[in-house]
Amino acid sequence: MKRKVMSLLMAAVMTASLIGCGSAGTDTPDVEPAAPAETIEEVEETTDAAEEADKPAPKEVVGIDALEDVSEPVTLSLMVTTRPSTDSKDFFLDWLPELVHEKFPNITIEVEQLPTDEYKQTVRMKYASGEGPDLFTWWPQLQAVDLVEAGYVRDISDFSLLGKFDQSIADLYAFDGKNYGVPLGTSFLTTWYNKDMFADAGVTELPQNYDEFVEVCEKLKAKGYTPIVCGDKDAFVIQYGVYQLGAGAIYPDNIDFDAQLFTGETKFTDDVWVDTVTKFANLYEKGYVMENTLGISQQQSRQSFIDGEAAMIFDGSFGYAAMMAEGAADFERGMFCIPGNDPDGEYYYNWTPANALFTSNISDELHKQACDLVMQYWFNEESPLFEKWVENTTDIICYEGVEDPREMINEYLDRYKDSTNLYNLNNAWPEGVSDALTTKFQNVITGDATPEEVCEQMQMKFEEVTE
Amino acid sequence: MPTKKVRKVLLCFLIPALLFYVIFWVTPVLMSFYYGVTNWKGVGDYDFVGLKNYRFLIKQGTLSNALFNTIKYTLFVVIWGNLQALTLAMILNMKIKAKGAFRTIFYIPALFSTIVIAFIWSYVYAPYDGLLSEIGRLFGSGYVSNLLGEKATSLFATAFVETWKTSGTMTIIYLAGLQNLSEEVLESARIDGCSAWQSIRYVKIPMLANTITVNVMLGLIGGFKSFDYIFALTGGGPGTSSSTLMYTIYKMAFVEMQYGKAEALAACAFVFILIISTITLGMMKRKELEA
Amino acid sequence: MKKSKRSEVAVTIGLTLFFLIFLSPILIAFSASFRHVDDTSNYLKLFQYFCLDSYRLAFGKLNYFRSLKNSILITTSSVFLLLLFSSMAGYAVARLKGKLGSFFQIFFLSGMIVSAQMSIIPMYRIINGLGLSNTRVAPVCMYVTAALPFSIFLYTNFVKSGVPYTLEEAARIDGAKIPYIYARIVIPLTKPALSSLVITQGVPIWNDFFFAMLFLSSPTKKTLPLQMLNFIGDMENATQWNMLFAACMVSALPILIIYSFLQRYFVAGLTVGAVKE
Repeated sequence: MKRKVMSLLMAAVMTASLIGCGSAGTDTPDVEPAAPAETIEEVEETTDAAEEADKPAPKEVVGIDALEDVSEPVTLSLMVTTRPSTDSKDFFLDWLPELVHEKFPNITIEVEQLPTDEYKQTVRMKYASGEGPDLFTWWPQLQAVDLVEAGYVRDISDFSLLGKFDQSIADLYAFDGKNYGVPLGTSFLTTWYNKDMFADAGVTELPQNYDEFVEVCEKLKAKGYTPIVCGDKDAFVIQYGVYQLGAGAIYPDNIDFDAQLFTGETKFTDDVWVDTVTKFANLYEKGYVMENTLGISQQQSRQSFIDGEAAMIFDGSFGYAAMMAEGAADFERGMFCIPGNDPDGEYYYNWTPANALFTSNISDELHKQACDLVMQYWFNEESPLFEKWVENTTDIICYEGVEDPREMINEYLDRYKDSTNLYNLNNAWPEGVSDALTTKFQNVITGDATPEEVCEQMQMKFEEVTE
Repeated sequence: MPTKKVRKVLLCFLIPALLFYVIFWVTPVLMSFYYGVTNWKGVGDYDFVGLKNYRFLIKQGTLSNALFNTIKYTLFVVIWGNLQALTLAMILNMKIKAKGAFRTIFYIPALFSTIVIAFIWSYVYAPYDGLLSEIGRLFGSGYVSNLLGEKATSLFATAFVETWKTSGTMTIIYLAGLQNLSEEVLESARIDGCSAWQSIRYVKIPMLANTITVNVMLGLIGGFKSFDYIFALTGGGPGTSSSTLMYTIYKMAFVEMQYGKAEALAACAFVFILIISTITLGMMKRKELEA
Repeated sequence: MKKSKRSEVAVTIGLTLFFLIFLSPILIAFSASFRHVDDTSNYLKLFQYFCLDSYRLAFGKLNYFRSLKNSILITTSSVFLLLLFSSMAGYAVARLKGKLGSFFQIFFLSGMIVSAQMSIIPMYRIINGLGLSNTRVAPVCMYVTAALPFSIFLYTNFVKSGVPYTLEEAARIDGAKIPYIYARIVIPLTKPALSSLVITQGVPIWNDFFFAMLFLSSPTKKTLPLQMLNFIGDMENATQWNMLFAACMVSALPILIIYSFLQRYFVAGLTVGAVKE
C-alpha cells in the first residue's frame, strides 16, 4: 500500500508535462518524471543498485579545504520567500552570505526576499526575461515543471553531495530522470492540541478515525472548551485541515486519485472529495470551531491557541516556534494528525517535502562555477555553514546522519512510522485549484455554499487550467 | 488665441511628459491587450485563442462579480469619502484657534504605508479582541464585530479604511478650494442674510465645483483601482465577495498563472472605467459650467 | 460674540474627540511597537510595556540608513521630475486652445484608468529592454509616469482657473517668451497646485513598494517600504507584527518630520495663495 503513494504524484507530473507539451511551438524536450515511487520512510530499502547504475557516476566528494575560490569577483543573486523571524541573524539573509564570503572572498551573495505570491511570479518573470536568480528555493513536482521545461534551471544530477540526501525526497525534484533541486527538508501538517484540556475533558486516547475525532470535539465542548480555532481570514489555513482529513478519506481506496484527475477517471466532485469537505464543514456546523473565524488571521489564531482559548489548531511542523511560544496560559502541547478515515478505514497522515534549492541554467560559466562552490560548501557536513543551516532551519532536514533537534517532531514521526504518509494534496494539482478550494470553503463557513459546490468549483478550476 | 509660434513652443513643453507616458504607460497597456487574446501563462510559449478568454470570464461570472464589487466599492468611496472630506474641510476652515494643529494631525494617516494601515484595521475589526468588539462590550452589548468576515460587509468595511486613509488628502484639496473662494462673495452672502447652511449650499458648493470634480474623480479612480486594502484585509473574501477588478486581475496573474485571462479582464476593466469616467466627467463639467 | 466663542469651544472639543478616535488605530500600532517582540496579546492595552527590542531588530533588518538614503534619492528625484514634467505639460495643455488642447487633456487623463496591476509583465519587459532593471532609475521612471495623468489634470485645471490669461498676454506684449512666462509667471502663481502635488503624489511615492519590488532586486538599492515587505509572513513563516509596527514607525518617521516642517509652508501657501486675485 505504502508504495503507491508516490506513484500517483509522479503520474500526475507526467500527465501534466504531457499536457504542457500540447501547446504549440514547444521545442523544449519532453520532461519525464523520475521513476522511483516510494514514501518517505522507505528510502533505504528501495534505493536499489540498478537505478544507481543508470545515472552517471557521481563526482568524488571534495573536502571543504580543497575547494578553491573562483578566479575573479562574482556576485550571486539568491532569492527566497520572506523570512520575518525575530532572530537577529537569519540563515539565508545573514549566515549564508557571510560564511560563503568568508570562505570564498571572491563570491558575494545578494539575497532578495519576497512574499510568496510575488515571489513565484517574480522568479518566473525574471527567468522569462533572461535574468533569473543564480540560486533560489522552489516547490516540488508539478510546481517546478514549467521552470524545468523552459530550460531555466540546471540539471544537478552529478552534484557529488546529492547522494547524502534522502533519495525519495530528492526525486520529487527530478524530472526525466534528472535532478534539479537540492532538497532542503520536509515538513508536515498537523493538529496541535492542548494536552491539559484534553485530559480535563476526559480524552485519554488520541482519535484513530473521524468518528472518534468528533467524539473528542464533543467532549471538549461539553466541558465548556472551544474545541478548535482556525485563522480562516487567511484562506490558506483551510488547507491545513482539509489536507489532513483528505489523506485518510480519499486515498486509501484509490492511491492514484490525483493522477486520474488528469485522465478524467476521477473528479473532485467524486464522493470521496465531497465526503472530505463535508467532514471538515461538519466541524463548523456542529460548533466545534470558534465562531467568526473568518475575521481571525493565522497569527491571531495561533495566539488564541497559546493563550488557551481553544483546545486545537490546524497548523504544521513549521509552526513549531510559534506554537511553543509562551502565551497567556501555561499548558503542555501535543500533536496529532486528524484522522479522515471511517472506523474500518486506514489511517493516513500528512508528511510532505519542503522546498529545494535550484540553480540557474542561463547564467554564465563563472556564475555556475560559483554556485557549485556554494553548494559544495553548504552541503558538506564539515563546513560551519552546514552547521548553521542545521541549527536555523524550520524544516526537518533529510540529510544522512542529521537528526532533528526538536524532540516532539521526532516523537511524532516515530509514532506514525507504520502508517502511510501523503504529501500536501496540492502538490499534485496545478496552481489555482487549492485556491478555489479555500475561497469557496469560506462561503461554506458563512453558510452560503455547500460542500458539493466547493468540489464543483475545484473541478471547474482544474478543467480551466489544464485545458 | 495663441499664435502659431507659441503653439509650437507649447507643444515642445509636452515632450518630456509625452515620452514617459507613451513608453511606460501606453505601450504596456497595448501589450496587455495583445496578451489578452492568448493563453499565455507568463512563462513559455502561447497560442492565440481569440475571444475565448472573454467568453470564459463572462461564462464563469468572474467579470460580473468583479465589476459589481468594484462599483459598490467605488460608490462608497466617492460618496462617503467626499461627504466626509468636505464636511471636515469646512469645519477646519472655520475660525478656530487650534485649526493648524488639527489640520496637521488630520493628514497623518495618509503618511503611513498601506500595509500597516491594513494590519491596524484588521485589529480594529477583529472579532472578540478588536476595537469595535471592545467598544461593544463597554456598552454592555454582546456585540462581536466580524465585519471583514461577513459577505455583506467585508467590501464596505474595506472601502471605509480607504476613505479613512485618503480623507486627509481629499480634505487638503477641499481646503485649498475653500480658501480660494472669493471673500467678497461670501461676505455679500452674509450681508444678504444667508444662513450658514444656505451659504454652503448655494454659494460655497457651486463655487467649489472645480474642486469637487477633482475629488470625485480622485475617489472614482481610487475606487476603480482599489487593490491594496482588499489584498491586505480580506484577500478578496469571504469567497469572492470582496474581489474587485484589480484584485481579481492580480490574483489570476500571480496566483493562478493565467496571464492571458488576467489581461482579458484588464481590457474589460479598462473599457469599463473609461466609459464610467467619461460619463462622470462630462456630467461634472456640465455642472461646473452651470455654476 | 459670546455665542461664537462658546461654539468655538464646542467645535474644538468635538474635533479633539473626533481626532482621538480617528487616530486610535495608529496609537495602537505605536503602543504595540514598544512591546516585547513575541507579545501579541490584547493590543488595546495601550502603553503598558516599554521595550525597544522590536525597534532594535527592525532597525537592523531594515538596514535603516542605507534604505533611507535610497528612499530619499528615489522620492526626491521622482517628485522633482514629476513637478517639472507635469507643470510643463499641464501649462501647455491649458493654453493649447482648440482640439489639440482637449485631445491632450483627454489623452493624459485616460492614463488614470490604468493601474499597475493591469500590465506588470509588459512594464517589466520594457524596463528590462531599456537596460534599466535593477537600477534606481527604473522605479523613478514608473513613479513619474504613474503620477503624470493626475498631476497634469490637476495642474491644467489650476492654470485655467488660477492664472489670469490677461497677465500672460500683457507679458507677451512686453516681449516675454513662453519659457520665461512659464518660469516667472505661471510657476509662482501655481505654487499651491505644486505643493498639493508634492503632498498627494510624493507621499504615495515614498510609501510605494510595488514598482520598487518589480525593479529593484539588489538589497543595496532597496527603499524603506520595500524592505518592509520582508516583515510579511507566509504559510510557513508567520509575520512578526510588533517588529513590523516598529519598522513602520521608523520608516514613517522621516516623512512625519518633513511633513511637520513643511506643513507651515503649505498652509501659508494655501492661505496667502497666489491664486487669489
